[in-house]
Amino acid sequence: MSIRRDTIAVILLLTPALWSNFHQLLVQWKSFESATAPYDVAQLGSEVQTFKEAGARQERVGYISDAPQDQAAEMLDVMHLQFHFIPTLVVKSTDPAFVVAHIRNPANASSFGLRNGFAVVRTCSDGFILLKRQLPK
Amino acid sequence: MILLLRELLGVALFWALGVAIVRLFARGSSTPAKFLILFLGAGIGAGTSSIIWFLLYVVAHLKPIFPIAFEIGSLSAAIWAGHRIAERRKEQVVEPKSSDFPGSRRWPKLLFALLVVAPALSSAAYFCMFSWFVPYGEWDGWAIWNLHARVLFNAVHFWASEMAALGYAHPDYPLLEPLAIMRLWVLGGRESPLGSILIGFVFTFATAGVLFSAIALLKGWWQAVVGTVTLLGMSTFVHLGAAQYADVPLSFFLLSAVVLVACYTVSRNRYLIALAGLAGGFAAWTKNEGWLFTAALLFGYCLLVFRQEMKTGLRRDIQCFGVAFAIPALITVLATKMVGSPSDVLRWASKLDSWLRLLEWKRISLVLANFGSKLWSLDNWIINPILVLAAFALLVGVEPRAAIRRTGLIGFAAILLTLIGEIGIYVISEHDVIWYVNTSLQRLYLQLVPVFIFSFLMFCRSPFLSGRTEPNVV
Repeated sequence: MSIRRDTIAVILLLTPALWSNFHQLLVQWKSFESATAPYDVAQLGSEVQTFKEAGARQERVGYISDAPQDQAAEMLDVMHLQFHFIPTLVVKSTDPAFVVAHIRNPANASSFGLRNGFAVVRTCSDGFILLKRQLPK
Repeated sequence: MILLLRELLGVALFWALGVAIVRLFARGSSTPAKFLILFLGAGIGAGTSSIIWFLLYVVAHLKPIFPIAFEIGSLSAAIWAGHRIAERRKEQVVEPKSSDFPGSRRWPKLLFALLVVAPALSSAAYFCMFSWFVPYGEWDGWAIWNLHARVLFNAVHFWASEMAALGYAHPDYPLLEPLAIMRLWVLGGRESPLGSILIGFVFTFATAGVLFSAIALLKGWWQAVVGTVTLLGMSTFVHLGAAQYADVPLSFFLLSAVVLVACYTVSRNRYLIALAGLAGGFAAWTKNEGWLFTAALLFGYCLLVFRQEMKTGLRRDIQCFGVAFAIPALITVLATKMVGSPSDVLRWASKLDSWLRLLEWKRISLVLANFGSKLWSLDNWIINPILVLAAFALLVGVEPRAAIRRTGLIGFAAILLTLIGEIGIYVISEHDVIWYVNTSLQRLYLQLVPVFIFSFLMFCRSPFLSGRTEPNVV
């Protein structure tokens, strides 16, 4: 009787705990899959329409931003200028030929490009730039 | 790859140092005791190495080779001292007299192993995927803890003034986690997200490890599985670790302090209460909430043992706890003084206006209502975890051993006193209460979740175990 009751108790507790554990993994896996799928320039919206002219229309394009959009300018300035805050990669493609970057500090753009083998193709207003992957020499 | 190896070596060094230090205080020959020493070593080592690097690298401005050499020297000394102590005294931790490892048949063992390994692997996979996607952590991760590490790494010679300039990024926050990350960057040779990911990973799974081994030691293997799966099933806890928040390292130290006090009340090995004090000190060195919880734990312990037969050694217990606590606590005070930016709580507490808010019933009721609603919606289980735990307790019944129940009571007393303190802080704060509660209360609860699970299971009878009626003390 006691063993049966213990079994019910353990199953009762472990079932929702295990469900929550595996459900979390499943949700993350789905978002992981969709996030690593390559984007077309057109999918990135009107913000990057101007880059179509640069020949990126048919290429796999990644997207990076150096910080979330909703931050105070003061915080960004201090992080970028004083501590060389590395851009937070939100790469939407595993191996993009082009990267649309939203980088407010130009110094970050050039340092990011140098570090990762990208060259700046075109700059746009509001900190948007288009980077192109350089072939290794 | 070389960066990964160098940073992994850095982790291995502080972990080995931590295990050697824990072995100076506690020894055990059973499997759960060995696991407990191993997992406690992760946090104790990270805390110890952060103090070494703070004093030698950040304050004294010595080259990195000196703190590295000091760590290796300390490790060698601790191993040597550990061997000498082992020769002098017997095993001094609580240990099960007989193993309740599930049955001699094969399938219960396989089921048991599956129940432990599967959620652990699932959580590890989630952690890795999330870290790949968000390598710099979420808001507090990159805007506070990793930013502080960047200041220490990039501006070590004038870190205090630079830190003080980060008015919006809580310059008063303690430095254990930023120093642990900075140390890996220095050892790796450059700033990389790998360092903060590794620190988050170690603390998340070491917390689960401490919970598992401590419950296995005091209550048996099945109860340990129940506790660990419940913790790993709290998806927000693992998420918080992957988000690189300091709340998870803090919860590691809070749990360690409670576990060590619990082991002490059963075994009466006074070294354990000193180690609990050290863990409490590291909690204060991790986040400001650590001060409150450690004070609550000590107060709760005194309150509960005062009426018991153990009160004869209470003064000595407090001395041992206090001396060990004082080491990281003094370092925390020194770092705060060097930055010169007082914490928000101390600033509010120094004003009469703040205390007058305690008379505003509307404000108090608002805070209490939020405490209730946030607790009810703590995690995304299909059935509310509070209901599930209550049903579990009703089915298995109450733990028959009074000594073990008392350890649970100490944990609950510490949680209760901490929550009362937190409610007070919310009420006297100058922030908008709703905003303050919405941005921090869930994390406060999650800091206490491992302690709650441990204390709760100390109260419940272990399933599939009926033979033992006395505490397992060697």
